[in-house]
Amino acid sequence: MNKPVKTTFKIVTAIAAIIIVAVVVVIYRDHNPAGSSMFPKCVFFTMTGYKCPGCGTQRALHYLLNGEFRESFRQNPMFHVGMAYVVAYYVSKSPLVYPKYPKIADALSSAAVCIMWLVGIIAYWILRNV
Amino acid sequence: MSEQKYFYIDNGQQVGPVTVEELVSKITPDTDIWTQGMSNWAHASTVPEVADLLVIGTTTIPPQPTMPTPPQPPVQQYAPTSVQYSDTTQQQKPDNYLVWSILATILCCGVFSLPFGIISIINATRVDTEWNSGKYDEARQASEKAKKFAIITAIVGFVCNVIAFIYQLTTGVLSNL
Repeated sequence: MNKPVKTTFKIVTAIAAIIIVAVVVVIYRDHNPAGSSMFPKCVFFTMTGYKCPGCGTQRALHYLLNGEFRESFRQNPMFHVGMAYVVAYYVSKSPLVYPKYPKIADALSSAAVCIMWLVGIIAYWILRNV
Repeated sequence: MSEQKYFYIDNGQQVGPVTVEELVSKITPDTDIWTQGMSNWAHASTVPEVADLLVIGTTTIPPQPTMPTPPQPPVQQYAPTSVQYSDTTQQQKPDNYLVWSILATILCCGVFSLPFGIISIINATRVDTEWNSGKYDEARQASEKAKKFAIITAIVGFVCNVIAFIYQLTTGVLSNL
């Protein structure tokens, strides 16, 4: 009895998500957040003057959508590494890969990788401000 | 809740696991059923969540000739095997939500949300270590915490950024007046 409602909810959510992603893509492709006051600034940077691990993600997205990969990577490499991990994780969990190679997904979600991320994010946070 | 699996007795044989929808299409109110959380087998009509669905089913489907119920083996015999099953369902490692912690930390970064992101990743680590040392309940609790703190990171980060952005826009507009 609940199923049609759930399916409708899923379809509406999916359409809303596609519209939001499309709007974000167009905005960030056509406008450079650097030097614009119309994009949210990092709260941590504004308050302390130090960069946070997420600083530069908006600029990185802008350059990425314009095909300027080197400039995009320069803005915030953590954004690229993070995205690469997210894509790799979902590919490894997909029905095409997971039944054949379950060890890839296991390795990607292992304690060692979690600790790597934890240490990596904090180390990156410190090092980019030195 | 919807993933609750049931077992039932058909011709003296234990059948299952099946979903509740499958169950009500196969059984009569007098069929013995069992699900996780029940201490022993019982007639379907005595289990509220199944009995409710059975009433709906019997009003739409014409009553079927009742089969002569075969002699049932002692009920206690089934319970241990089912309990074993409930242990094997737990053999799948819970999600550690590391992807969401990372996304929330990088995309919704802020001085207030970052500590929650770190708590989420620490719990993601615990999912794996607790699971590998056989502490399945602890692993599941860590998984729930990792999920909870990833959501908190995202919400706190989002709210902080929205407030800061509104402040930034209004002060920008005011200084331009």
